[in-house]
Amino acid sequence: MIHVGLSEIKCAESPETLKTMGLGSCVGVILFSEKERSAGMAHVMLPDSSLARSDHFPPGKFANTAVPEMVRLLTREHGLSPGSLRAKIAGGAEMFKSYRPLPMGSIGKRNVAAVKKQLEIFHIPIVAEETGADYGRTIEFFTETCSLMIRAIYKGERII
Amino acid sequence: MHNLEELLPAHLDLLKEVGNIGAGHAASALSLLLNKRVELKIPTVKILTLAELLNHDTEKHVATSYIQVEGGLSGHFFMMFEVSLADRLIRELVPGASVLDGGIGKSVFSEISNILCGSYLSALSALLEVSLTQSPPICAIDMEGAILGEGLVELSLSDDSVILMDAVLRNQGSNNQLKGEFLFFPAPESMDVILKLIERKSSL
Repeated sequence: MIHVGLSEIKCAESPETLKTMGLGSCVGVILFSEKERSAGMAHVMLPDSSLARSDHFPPGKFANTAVPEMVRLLTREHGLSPGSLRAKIAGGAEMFKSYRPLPMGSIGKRNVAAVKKQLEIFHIPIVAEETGADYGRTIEFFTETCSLMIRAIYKGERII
Repeated sequence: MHNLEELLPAHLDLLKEVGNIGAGHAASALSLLLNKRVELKIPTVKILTLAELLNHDTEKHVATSYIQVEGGLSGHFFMMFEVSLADRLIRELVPGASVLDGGIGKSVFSEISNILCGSYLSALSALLEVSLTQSPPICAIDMEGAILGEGLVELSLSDDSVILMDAVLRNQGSNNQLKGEFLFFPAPESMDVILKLIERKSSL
């Protein structure tokens, strides 16, 4: 099992699995090739790097830097063909229910929209997703079966 | 100061003292509220990356109340209890309530956090001679990592590291143990305010 921390991008080949824990408003993005049984996972925290107030950040932090970097890693370094890539995404919740607007709006929703926009740019279809709602998620991707396990405290486990 | 790496050990000691005074007041407030003796573990101050912070106890099931602090200094305040201990806390005031009931229990938890954060901040406000305001608390009950990850999203824009002023409160009774944590994350731009004021005072 390869652990993907906040703002990180990691790649794995069968039979390895990729796991990230405690996604709240963050989005877990998995790009994979079913034929090659290889995948990358990013733990994206924010929608766009234009929001950054500093020049130093890991590419996995923002949707608009994480997706291009992961595509580059998978196609250039792991030799996957760009056309074979598929995506699964999970996360983007709203942990705090509030009548008072939060300073950043619903960051979860913005993250999901930004990830989808990036995937569209790279013509990568989303074959499964579980996003939104108000609970935290831990996810694990199994490269052997290309299935994504999602665990939440009140909802138990399921596979998409 | 916008670069957390410029903070010296002496600065961290000063912050620790500030945290100690704030948490000390919060502990007395909790003690009065529950009519029980409350013990404060010596608070810590750490600079750590968000990834380090969230890698720890990521999936722990906690009840958290989140308050934004603004005014003379800005920051993010969290009161965090494991769910079973949050229920114990609430039941000291409203027997039978639970933080998961979505009603009275959750309100009680929020109100306690409001009072304790208020005491913490009023001590800071008096010490630093700044006026502070606190937002109404909002509650989330879920995985610790998921909650903090969302609460700290604003701080993450300026830096991948945060300053954590951490305090653990517990009561002394052995069979009805209560334990909770206060996490205060001052915004990096507020460091100047804190350090200048303390330095001025200590040079008097």
